[in-house]
Amino acid sequence: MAYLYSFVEIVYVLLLSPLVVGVQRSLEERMESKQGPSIFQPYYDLIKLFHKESIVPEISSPIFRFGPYVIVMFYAFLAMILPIITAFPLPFAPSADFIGGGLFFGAAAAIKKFSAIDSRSNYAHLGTSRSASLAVFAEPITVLIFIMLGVISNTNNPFVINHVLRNSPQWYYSLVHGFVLAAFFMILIVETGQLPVESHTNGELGMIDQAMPFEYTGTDLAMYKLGSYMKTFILLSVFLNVYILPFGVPMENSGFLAILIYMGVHLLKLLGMVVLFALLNTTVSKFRLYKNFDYLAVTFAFAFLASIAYYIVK
Amino acid sequence: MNHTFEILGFLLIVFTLVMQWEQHVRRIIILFAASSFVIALFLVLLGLNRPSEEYMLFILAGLTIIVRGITIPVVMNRALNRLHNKPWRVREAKPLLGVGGSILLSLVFIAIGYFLYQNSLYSILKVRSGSVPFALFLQASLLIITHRHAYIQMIGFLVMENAVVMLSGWVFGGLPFIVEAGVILDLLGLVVISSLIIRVREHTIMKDGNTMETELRR
Repeated sequence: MAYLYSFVEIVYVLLLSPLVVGVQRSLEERMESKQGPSIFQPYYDLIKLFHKESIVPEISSPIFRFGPYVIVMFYAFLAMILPIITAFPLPFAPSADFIGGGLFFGAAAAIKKFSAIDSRSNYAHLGTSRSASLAVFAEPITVLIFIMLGVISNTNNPFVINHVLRNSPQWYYSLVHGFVLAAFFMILIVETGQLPVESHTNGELGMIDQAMPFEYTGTDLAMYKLGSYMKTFILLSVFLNVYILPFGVPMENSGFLAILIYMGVHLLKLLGMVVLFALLNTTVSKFRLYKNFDYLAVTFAFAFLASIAYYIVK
Repeated sequence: MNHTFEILGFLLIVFTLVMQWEQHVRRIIILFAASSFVIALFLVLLGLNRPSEEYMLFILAGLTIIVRGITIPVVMNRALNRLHNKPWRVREAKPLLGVGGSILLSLVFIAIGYFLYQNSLYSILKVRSGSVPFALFLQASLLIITHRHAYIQMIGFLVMENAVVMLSGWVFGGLPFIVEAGVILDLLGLVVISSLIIRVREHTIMKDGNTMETELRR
């Protein structure tokens, strides 16, 4: 049965991750009094791209071609080991703890950069260089955030952290948790490319993630996009299920029906986050590129304050 | 009450961090006003928790709101309006340290404040969160050191005093009211002196024909 849950989880992430992005884009347009695309537009884009031929630059190596597929594989694996629709570990969960999961995210990001560089396009290089310079600060902050939750729960297991936060109001309502939440939310904005860090335009001065797949076409581009959708979906799910709303995620004895019901609840939670991001994207203006580092410094400050708060309140 | 002190103390630390992040003087003034209201809230809660000192702390909270929360920000804003055509654009153009660097240094100061307190007053006071005002004090000193703009330096000084009021209110609650009132009077004096300086500067600018911005940033 546990293997079936794993299968359901991976299908759930694969199928619904484009929907979350579609809802956000549609909502943003509607907030600006435009008609906007359908919420299913990312599906239409993916289907269209899957039917197209991939064109590969002559001077690129196989890394360019295989990169997007490996990235999707990594995110599919992460979907099986993180608490997305269950609060109990599924068969593959013991293969990596929270830090391990962070390393997988980092590895996927590194492969993305390698494959982008391999296209030899100037734009891809520009995006990769920007992305790498942000990631070099963002990744350690993410690890510090995970470590702080590890300190609270005495473990690096995300499922145990979920249990500790849902059963211990003294930690859930603590300053440590508050600062960790703030820091992780700010990191989410960086990792999922929301404003004020990045706008979804192809403006040369500000584009980061938009520049990296410049040479990708057809099926390869579809896989690349699917990887990005899955990353957003998984990160948001971790934020919701472990950090901000750990309540209601089904326990082991709850049965399959409870998991099915929770999928609906989870989508509602995701909708809440999407509304928040849409609000941000329509009201906040973009930072100039070099200002992003100030933003990351403040994010680090919150993560650091969490550790100071831990020593003060414990 | 300990928990309230921790939450409000950390809120003040966050406000000061945002002051380091922010470059526009007007927004820093608003942040300072907000932090003063937090101090007043803290004093009110402290008063409710300590019936013996209730009235004294309520008066102090009222004075904090009137002087630091309203009067000082209003006076500073008026001075800004008088000296600049576009006061909302007045900002720290060249801080001595970049925003990222000053925030990191601020964190180092917070840690130093914690260790200083743990190794000095903690053994006497036995209140772990007493390190928060220490951290706030050091952060405020950094705000003064890293900025050239006179207004921001003055706000840094006022944040330092906020830290003193917080520590005295929490840890030395039994001290006579006159000591706390002294801090308020000190602030009043500061405002009078700074407004005088501003007037003298304004006069100098008019007389010498220097541009206002250059003069202010010297």
